[in-house]
Amino acid sequence: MDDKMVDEKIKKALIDGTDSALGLKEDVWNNIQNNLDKHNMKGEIALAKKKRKSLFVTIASTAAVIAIVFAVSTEPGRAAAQKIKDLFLPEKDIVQELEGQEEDTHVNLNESEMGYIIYVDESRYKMEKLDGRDRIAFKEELDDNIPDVYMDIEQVRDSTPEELATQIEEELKADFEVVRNEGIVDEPLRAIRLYARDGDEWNSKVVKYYLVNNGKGGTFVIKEHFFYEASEGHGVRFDNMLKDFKIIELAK
Amino acid sequence: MDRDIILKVKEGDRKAFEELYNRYYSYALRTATAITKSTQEAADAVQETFIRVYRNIYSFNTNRPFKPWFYRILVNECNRVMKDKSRVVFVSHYMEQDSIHARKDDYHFEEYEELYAAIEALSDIYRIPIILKYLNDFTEKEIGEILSLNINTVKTRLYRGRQKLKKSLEKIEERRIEHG
Repeated sequence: MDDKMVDEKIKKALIDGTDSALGLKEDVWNNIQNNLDKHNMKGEIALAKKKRKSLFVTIASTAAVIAIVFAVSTEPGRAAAQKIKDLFLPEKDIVQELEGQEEDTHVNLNESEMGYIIYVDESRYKMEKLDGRDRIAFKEELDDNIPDVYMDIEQVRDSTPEELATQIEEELKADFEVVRNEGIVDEPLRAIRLYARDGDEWNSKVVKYYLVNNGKGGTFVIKEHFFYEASEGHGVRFDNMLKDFKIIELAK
Repeated sequence: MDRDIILKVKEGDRKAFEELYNRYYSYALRTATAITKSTQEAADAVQETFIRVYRNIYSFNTNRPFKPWFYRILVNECNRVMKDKSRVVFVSHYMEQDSIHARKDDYHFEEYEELYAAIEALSDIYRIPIILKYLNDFTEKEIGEILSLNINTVKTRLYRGRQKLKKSLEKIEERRIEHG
């Protein structure tokens, strides 16, 4: 059987196999209409354009912000640290899928002074504090022609995710061939995602930003930095670490 | 042009949104049905996709193509509904469509039915790129963007998925010859 015929048969099988669904067109549209009417989304769009901050209140409410309120006012730092240890396992094993293969990975809890926790695969990466940001960097030394592999996390207190998305997108356009603002995503965490790549070579630089509302009008800026060929490796590993990213609000 | 419609949707124009729905509905629902293996879950995914499109259209950059952006949301919604709902063993839904059956000769219907079943049996990493390519004519690059995969991975997955389907087709053909 020649390739062209195989292609035609696959296409036809998919068309035939999905014909039955088309009869639902009116029902689906009516449900959409009802939902839009219920939430008065026309108003939401208009509001979003004038006052975009409001949309991200929604993000904040689902951004896994955990408020730790403790009654003891003495030694708050130590009490907070203890509380975090009580709430989260210090280490655990996860299963992650990389290139279609499942891999068992041991991860360790890391707490940041910025007010978040994350589980890090410390066999491959080390978490370090840089000037005003945290870096989770690949431990191995790479050749000079390979972009560094790391994930930076910093907090910008006076800009919303949307404001930063516009600004970062413009900056990326100056340096990268491919730039995408992917809007709000739910995976690996609720955030605005930006993607940029400087070419199609195996070692082309890739950066991915996740802009997470900090719940106080500011943003956690998470920047993944790796190379194209590592998209399914380091890229997926970083994303999997972010599934457990949680903002911790320390309240006295 | 999508761009003109989208600019109107950005302004909250419900008529333009309906036009966008009419333009994208059919293949969105086919795609979601093939991915979720369920008409009802597909309808849920498509419904949520259009609502999310409407809500997030303000963040869409109109200098970029709309279709891959739309399908990225759709695939995410399909994954979400599949994760949310407990799954049941899939029963081929087109078995209910007697009117379609009657128009086809038995052999060809069975061949496409079996091939569709073979597509459904592929693991997701092969199945979803195959659906995006053959139902929607996306390029490998676009599939990579929709699924956040690098282009070489997409090529490999399409190649392997296609090889598996080719083998299935050959087996279907052998059976047909054996049974005269």
